[in-house]
Amino acid sequence: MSETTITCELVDQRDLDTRYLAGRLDEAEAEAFEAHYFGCDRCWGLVRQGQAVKAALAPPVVSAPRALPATRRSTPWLALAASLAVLAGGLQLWRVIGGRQRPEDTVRGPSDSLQLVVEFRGDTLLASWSRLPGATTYRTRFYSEDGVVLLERESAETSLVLPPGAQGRLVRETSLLMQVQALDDLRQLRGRSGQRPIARPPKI
Amino acid sequence: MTEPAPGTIPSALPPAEALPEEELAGRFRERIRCFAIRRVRDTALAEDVAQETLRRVMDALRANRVENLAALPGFIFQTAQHICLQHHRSTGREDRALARLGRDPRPSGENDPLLGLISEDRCRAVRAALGRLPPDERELLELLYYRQEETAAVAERLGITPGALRVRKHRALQKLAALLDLRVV
Repeated sequence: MSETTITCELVDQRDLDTRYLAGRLDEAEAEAFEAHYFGCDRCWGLVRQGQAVKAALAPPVVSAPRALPATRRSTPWLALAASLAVLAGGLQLWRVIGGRQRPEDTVRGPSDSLQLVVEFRGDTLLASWSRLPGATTYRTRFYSEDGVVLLERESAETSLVLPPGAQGRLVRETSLLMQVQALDDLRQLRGRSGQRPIARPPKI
Repeated sequence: MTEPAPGTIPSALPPAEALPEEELAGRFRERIRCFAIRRVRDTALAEDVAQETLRRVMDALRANRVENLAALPGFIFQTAQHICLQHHRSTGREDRALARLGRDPRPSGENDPLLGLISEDRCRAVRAALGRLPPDERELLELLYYRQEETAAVAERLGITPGALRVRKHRALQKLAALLDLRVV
């Protein structure tokens, strides 16, 4: 961590919040400011508000499917070979360090490798997803529209039934997102679904 | 909730028994996502970093490995930093392997990934609240946050000192928070 100590006064004097959001701080300054706002509600509030203002005033972005570079499309074996090289290196490293690094430390994984179907029937939420070879556990996460995780479950099954009594914080939400992550027996992430929107049917 | 006045001492952390998982997540998840997205440049990965960080911190709290709760924000920060570093090492190995095969590393992510953390609903609410601010305050926030002009330049344009501009900025943000009923914490 940077040795620079940040105070609220310094944040104001140097406009660290606005310069951070504009990406104008050097790495050491940005990191020191981040370390500060982890423990400072006031300065975190400035960042949060500034983010919201910036996002609100930005023109809406029309997202298009991200195309892979032509070179990679024409030679997919190169990416595969690179991935295998990394995997081999990773396995070797795993043997060397003797499992000191926890398997859950891996946070990456292929997206959209699971097909997920989810809906409300009445007040009960029903979800099912495709089985992924090698996966032994499926972690389901429910997010608010702001991306906050509201509920998390793990199961070896490929379906989930949540009656109202088991929905916890979900019962307060009308619009949700759900994602399923597939973990192997070392709890490595093997794949995941996209984030699927779920709309709770209106009460009649 | 009203925002603390500029320069006030941040509120103290609650005691350990008041920091169950949900409380901890509510307080720190967004900070970790904001921290992480600048490094991993992907909202889903940033969420993964936040989840993993909170899981490790909860494990440490349950095992009584955090002796000084006042240092908890620093511990969370360092845990998030460590997880992002592991991610970088992993992607770095993949990029180097691609480079050895004569290929470019993967393209970088969004231009401004921080914007991806704000939902469209929240954007609409903030736009509506901005519309209810006096025009001079709205212009000030636009110049600082959207056009990203330096404080000194904005102050010069408005014919005021940088100090006066900072006071106006805080006042405008407080009004905006009140209009949105924004929780500052």
